[in-house]
Amino acid sequence: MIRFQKTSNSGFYLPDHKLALDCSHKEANYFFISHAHSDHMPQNRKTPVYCTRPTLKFMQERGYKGKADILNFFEPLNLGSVRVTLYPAGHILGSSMIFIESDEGTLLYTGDCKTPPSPASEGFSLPENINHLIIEGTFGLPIYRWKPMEEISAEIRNFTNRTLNENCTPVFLAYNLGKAQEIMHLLAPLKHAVQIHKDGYKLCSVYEDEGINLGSYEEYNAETGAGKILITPSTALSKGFASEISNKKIAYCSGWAAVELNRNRSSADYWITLSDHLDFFELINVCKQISPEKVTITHSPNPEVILHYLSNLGINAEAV
Amino acid sequence: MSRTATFAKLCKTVQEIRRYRDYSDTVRYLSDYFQSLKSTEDLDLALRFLLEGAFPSHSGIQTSTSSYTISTAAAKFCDIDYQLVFKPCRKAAGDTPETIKMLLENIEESRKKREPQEQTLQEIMNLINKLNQVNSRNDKHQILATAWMKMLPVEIKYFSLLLLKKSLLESPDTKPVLSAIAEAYEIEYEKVRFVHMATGSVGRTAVFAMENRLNEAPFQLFHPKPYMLASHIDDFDYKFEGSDKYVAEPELDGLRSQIHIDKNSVKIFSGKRTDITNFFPEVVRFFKNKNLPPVILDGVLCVYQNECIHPSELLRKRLNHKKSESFTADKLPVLFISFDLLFFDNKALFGEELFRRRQLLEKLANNYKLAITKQNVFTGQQDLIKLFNRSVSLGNKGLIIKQKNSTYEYGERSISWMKMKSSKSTLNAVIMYAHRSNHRESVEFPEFTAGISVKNDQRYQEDFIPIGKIMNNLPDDETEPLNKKTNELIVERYGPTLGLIPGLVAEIKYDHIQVNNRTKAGYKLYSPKLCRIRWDLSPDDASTLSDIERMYHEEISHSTNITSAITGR
Repeated sequence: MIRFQKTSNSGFYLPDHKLALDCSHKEANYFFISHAHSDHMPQNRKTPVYCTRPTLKFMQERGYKGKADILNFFEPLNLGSVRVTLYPAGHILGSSMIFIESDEGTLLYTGDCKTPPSPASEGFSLPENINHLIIEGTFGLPIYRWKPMEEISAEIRNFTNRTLNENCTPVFLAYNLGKAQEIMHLLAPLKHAVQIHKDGYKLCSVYEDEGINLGSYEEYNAETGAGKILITPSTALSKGFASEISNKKIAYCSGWAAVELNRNRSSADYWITLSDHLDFFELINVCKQISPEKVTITHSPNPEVILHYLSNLGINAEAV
Repeated sequence: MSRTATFAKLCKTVQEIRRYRDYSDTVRYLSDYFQSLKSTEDLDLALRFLLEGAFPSHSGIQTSTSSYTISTAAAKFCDIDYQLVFKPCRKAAGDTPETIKMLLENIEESRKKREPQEQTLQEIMNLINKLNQVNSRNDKHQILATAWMKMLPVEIKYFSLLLLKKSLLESPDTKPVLSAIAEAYEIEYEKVRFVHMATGSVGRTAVFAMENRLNEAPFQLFHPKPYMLASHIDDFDYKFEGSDKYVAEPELDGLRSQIHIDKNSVKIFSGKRTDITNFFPEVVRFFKNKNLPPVILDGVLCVYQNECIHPSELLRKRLNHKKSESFTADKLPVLFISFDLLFFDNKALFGEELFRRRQLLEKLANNYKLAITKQNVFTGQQDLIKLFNRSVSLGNKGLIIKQKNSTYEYGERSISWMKMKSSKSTLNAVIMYAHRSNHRESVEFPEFTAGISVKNDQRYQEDFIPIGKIMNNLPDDETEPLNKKTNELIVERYGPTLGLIPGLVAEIKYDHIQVNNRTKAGYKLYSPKLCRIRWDLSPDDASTLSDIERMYHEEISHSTNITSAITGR
């Protein structure tokens, strides 16, 4: 098995091959970034990294100044003692799972992933012969099971149509990278103008460059926003985003919206359970499908529950 | 019984209401649901489930199935480990019914077991009764498992909620339900509201509305009636047009209460309309001995000794004691002082004008030697201010100015009654925490936690301890520099709560100080208001805990001579 260490910023370091996954380990020679969310980006903005093209573009928009080598999915890269291949993770555009092959065996680090994949991503695809799987367990409880994407998509469109019919402005609360564009993609068939928060707006062209239809959109403008579909992160809302628009209905889009307790803490009018992570059952299925010699669960508030289920399936697992 | 009254339909309605949380949607969903019900029994039961729970709140009957029994039954039903799986799920989901719903929806084993059949509300009630009749956990598990096989997850959630002695609607607010009754049966809202007030039951109100017999609804004593509340006058220059139309009454330092009396029965209800009869046996005895006709009196319970009213803080202490008799009348005698009459001579007086109600109250007080507040007339603004200053100097909280021709606007904060009150004291507090809001169109920091100094206090290791939250109601030009400074002082974040380096001192006005063991200081400010930021002061100038303790003891040793404030005894 390939030896690994968990690093302080939730990434992993493979000491025998000096490979850093989603972290900036000081002894590493090679740095791989699974996707461009801030908790996975290198802390040092000048660290040279390997990543997909969309990931690099997003990182550059978010302040990354280093030199990056772009890797295409499924194209292996030989780095002396190891061979590294990126597989699409289905989390956001450009998100990748990092597959490492060496003499000690193989390891798949999923980063954040989702299957069935986000419709605004390159899909989800697994390599074969995985000895060791390091997988995220953000939603690691059986209370989390996502509805099929068609149902969620219909829910988003219904909310939008209903709100517009009431002469109100629909406002979606979603992260600037990934969720915002996924919602835009799902709303594109409505052909209704979208205005998006400025930080999300600058990331949209990357999606379009990759051929993902985001419909007709522009940067949020307080004077012209009423009656359009607005998309913003929730933090911007408390700082005055859309405060000029009196008749609006706010939909909070997140996997955490599945829990009524979280809804009660939010001031939104409507909650849509839309996650860009695996639900519990998908997580167990992926482990079962791969059936590796070892599974390591990461990013999970409830790893014991996942471990209990995997143990019942006879899968050797641990949590870090 | 009609099959239209299915429990599933009620649960789906409630689920939609909880999902949208919008007033007009709530009214619409409920109205549609009420219209779909064909029998009065179903309507009554649905309203009970919505607002009271499985059993009427006054019945004293409770469900006997514990959260543990329901949870372990659910774990068994889903074939999951209770400790390893169910408990972490419940921790994440927040409550048992929601956890059960989510697990039963998601877990394949439980899906296979369920074949939902439409069940009526009465069938659900029968199940609850059946569970109440068995004692062993195994028997309850058996009944629950059999029942759940016929239910949808959403039904199981709300069925569990009823078993856990809760009502289906989250908010106890009856307004949207009454609006829905009015909408469903096309009746004027005010009529529905009056019948609800008179009968004290939403279910009975709905049944009268369904049968188009609202006019026949009887007025029920011993159901607390919503209070009429006074509006605040912040500005003492407020002009009362035609002062001969008003009377002024002292605002006594007491506990707003309502007393219902009929023959030998007496009940006392608090300002929050809870039954506090048992806490005041001497008041009950007093009224029983008077042999009064059926009446409802509105007034205040005051601590009364040697012709003086003592601070109501002492009265609150009595309410905190489980054994009310431990506070004997000798130690803390209480007097009920009436200022309004709501029911007399078998007639509700809500629609009568104040002067008429007052005439009847004075007559009653005279005949039965009851204490009532004194009313004063005033000739103009200056006269009113004199009256106010005199009232405050005698130890009252202020004045209530009432329109003579106003009806009793129950459940409303009305401008027919105005409260003229002065905040008694101020202190200088350090701003310790700022609280962000995720509500739209809000100020950046709508609330702050104020702290007092304990730097030189041996009992504490820290420099400052919290004394309570204060609303930020400063004008925009003062809020802007406050926000700027707050942002500079942030050192810690706990979700929406931001810890600040001590650097901001605020002047806070408050009504009085209360003992409160849940705060670190042991005291709490009642009705605190942020007056201004003291840019000229540093945290070293903040008020200390010793100051608070001194002020509290001054307050509770203070008393009010009531000879000028009440009459009729």
